[in-house]
Amino acid sequence: MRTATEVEHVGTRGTEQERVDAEFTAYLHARPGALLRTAYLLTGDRHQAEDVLQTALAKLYLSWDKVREREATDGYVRRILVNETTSLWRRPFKRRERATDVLPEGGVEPTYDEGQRAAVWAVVSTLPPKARAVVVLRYYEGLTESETADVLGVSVGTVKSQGSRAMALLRDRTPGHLAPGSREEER
Amino acid sequence: MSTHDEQAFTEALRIQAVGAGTPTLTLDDVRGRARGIRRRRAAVVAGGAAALVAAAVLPVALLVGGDSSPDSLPPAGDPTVSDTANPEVEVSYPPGWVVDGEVRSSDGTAFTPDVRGGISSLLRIGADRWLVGGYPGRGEFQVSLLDATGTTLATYDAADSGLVGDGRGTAAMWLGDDGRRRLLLAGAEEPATLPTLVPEGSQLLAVLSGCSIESCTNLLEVDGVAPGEDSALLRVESNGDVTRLRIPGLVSVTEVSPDGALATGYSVVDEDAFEFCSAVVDVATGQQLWETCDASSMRFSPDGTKVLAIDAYLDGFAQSFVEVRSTEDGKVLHSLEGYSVLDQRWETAETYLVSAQDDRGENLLLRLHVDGGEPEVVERRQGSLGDPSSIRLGG
Repeated sequence: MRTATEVEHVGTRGTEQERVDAEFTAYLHARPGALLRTAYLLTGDRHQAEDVLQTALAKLYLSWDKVREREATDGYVRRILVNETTSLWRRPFKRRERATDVLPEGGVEPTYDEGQRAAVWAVVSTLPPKARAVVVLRYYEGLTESETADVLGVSVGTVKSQGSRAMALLRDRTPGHLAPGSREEER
Repeated sequence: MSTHDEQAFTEALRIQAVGAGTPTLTLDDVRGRARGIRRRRAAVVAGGAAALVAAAVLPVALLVGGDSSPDSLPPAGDPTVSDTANPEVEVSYPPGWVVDGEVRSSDGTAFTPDVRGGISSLLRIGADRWLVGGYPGRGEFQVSLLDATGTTLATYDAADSGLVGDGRGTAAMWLGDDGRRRLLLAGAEEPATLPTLVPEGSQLLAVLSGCSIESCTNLLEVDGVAPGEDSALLRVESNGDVTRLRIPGLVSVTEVSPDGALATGYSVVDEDAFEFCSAVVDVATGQQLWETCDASSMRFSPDGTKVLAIDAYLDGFAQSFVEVRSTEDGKVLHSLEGYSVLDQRWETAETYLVSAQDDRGENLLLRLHVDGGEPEVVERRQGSLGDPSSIRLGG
């Protein structure tokens, strides 16, 4: 037999759902642009970015109260985005795109312009999913090493080493310096 | 590494990120995806396994109308799932699939359904009848009964709460918009309306095999009834008797075996740690037969001796493998890799169908035999890498 508490809980369910929907809608209006950009950098593909973001937001919706109480909503979504992207990379057609340590052929861009940006992106695109996530969270999202480690569920040391490795690849790929004007400084 | 380099790196990523465009996701999009996740995971219980009680089955009285009464429920710890199931039933009809808008099956069935608004779910019911669920207009869910030529024999208003079968093509169930269950058995021309009202928001999960009008067991998921509980799993008999399933060791139940004796579901769901484990559990004793953290979403074969499973993490676009395991000990009996797996179903107790995409983007329907051998290509359609397949499996 239902207890008084249970009856009360069932009776307030509709109101609770309306509250969740209202709060979630507000979040949905405020955050998806930024999250989609992060998803895009993680996946490298617009359609896949939309797909992983939709899944991440759906999981957030299902866990709204639990996550909201922790005041860590964006962190939760980032974690799901990374997990979804990792899952994506386990699929056969993605695995065939997986990067190795061997960098793609190509010339060195002379200046920091559209070509240089493309060169940076080409390097990021060659990174394995976890290393790529480190790069995106550290250098795009601006998370600290500790925050990045927390999102990825890895040690700070792993974040440091993967971040360093990514930067080393960048230096190899773009000799000199990355920054605009740095080549003039070399002269 | 210099700060200068880091800043340049950040700037380059920011410029690149602009290419992401503008998101178009709506609340309905998110809720739709959430429904799918919830259906696959089914009845994830807040608090995890530690919060579950020791009793395998506890009586509750959530339903109203009909003969529902706590007094008519079996006592706790005395599950009676198998009382109503009939594992000896051998009749089974092969499932169908939809390709290019046409319904097909391994027995030669091929017809274009006479329905508006496309097919969102497909279920075989007997040798020459099919149930199609869809949204013909204004977003309202409707179930149509078709014959083997695709002609609509009847349409039924329905709640958007699932169209489920027994995995053999002999029984189908959905919720009417009056909140009562509709049961259609193979050979019947009209569904029976079961008198018990189910709670608003209920999601039908399964019909156990061996159904008759007098005795039929189904599982449904309802919103949580206790504070902090997301959802609960109920077993409902056709006479309105209700038991709430709480199976030690499972935080959710994704399926119950055809005879009702075993259940499978998630034993660990840890989104933060990216850990998803599944187990097969004896319903009566609560004893775990086996557990794996490598596969999930397990579905029992029609004879209950095997389960079909996919990757442990299953919420994205596709999976990387599908495998068959022994129900008894979890041993992998057969597996398929090398494709993006989109969907999978048992066809018979020995064969299963997989909707997959190969590395050229070609959409395939494959038939695999648990005893081995090369996959048989049943359907082949050109597609695009990462796009949804034009081949969809039904029940």
